[in-house]
Amino acid sequence: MTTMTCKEAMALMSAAVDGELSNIEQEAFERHIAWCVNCSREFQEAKKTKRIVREKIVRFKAPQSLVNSIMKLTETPS
Amino acid sequence: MTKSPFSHTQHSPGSHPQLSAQELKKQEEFQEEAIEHINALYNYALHLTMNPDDANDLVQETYLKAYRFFDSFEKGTNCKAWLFKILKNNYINKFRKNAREPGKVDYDLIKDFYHSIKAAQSDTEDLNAGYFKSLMHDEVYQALQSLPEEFREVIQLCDIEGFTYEEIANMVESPIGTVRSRLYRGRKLLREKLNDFAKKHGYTSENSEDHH
Ligand SMILES: [Zn+2]
Repeated sequence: MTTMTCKEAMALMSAAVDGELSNIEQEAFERHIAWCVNCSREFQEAKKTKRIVREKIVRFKAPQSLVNSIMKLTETPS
Repeated sequence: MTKSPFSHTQHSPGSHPQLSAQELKKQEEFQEEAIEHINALYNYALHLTMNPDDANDLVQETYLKAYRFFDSFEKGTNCKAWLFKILKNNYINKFRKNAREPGKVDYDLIKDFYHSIKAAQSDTEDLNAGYFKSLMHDEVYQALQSLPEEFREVIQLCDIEGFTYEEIANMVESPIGTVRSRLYRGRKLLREKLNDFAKKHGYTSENSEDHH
């Protein structure tokens, strides 16, 4: 297998973070970041960003009036 | 969700004489499959419209359409993705004409939006349920809102809602490669905005494995 370039690794970065790589891509990506400090750091930073968004984003609850009106909607024939 | 908002024990027999057995079955299935996603849809609508009233209308219209065309939902596929797609289409038809130019963000609008939501939310019993906690949440929310729409949207769909790239590609009507690169670039932009915040609150790349 030929070694992946940094440019190729960057193109796979988000998919690596999200577990969306194929087995072949995953293998090549891991091989690359095992020795490339730069891409390895990028990968850690991208994972960190995802984690912050997941843990800290504000989630609103749908207003009860909205829930009620949708409930009504399913109680009449369409 | 702690309880189903759709228990309808209050009906006397014959209160819906017009519902056939088939319609009752549809109603039951719809309530089981579709209703649980209402909070996710509401949040998506808020992010798209940045306006609580518009978000309300959008979610309502989405469910109206979804219920009417529930026959066309393929059982066993992702109902949440199906609903998001309907909402997105509705949004485009309804609001896109007046939308902000991509990449142009009105920070005052974001601020107004956030505070109007906060005010609206404080009228409800949910204030103590953890939807608002601290400034940290504030910072992340506003950092995300300040990204150009094309990046903000894929980050929401991926990181917050947990859709697969294939589902996201379908929703935003772009190839998977585009989703990949938008996520990459979007996270980089977001990272710059969050950098100070991350240092301040002890997120470091050295201990980035989950430890909660
Ligand atoms: Zn590299």
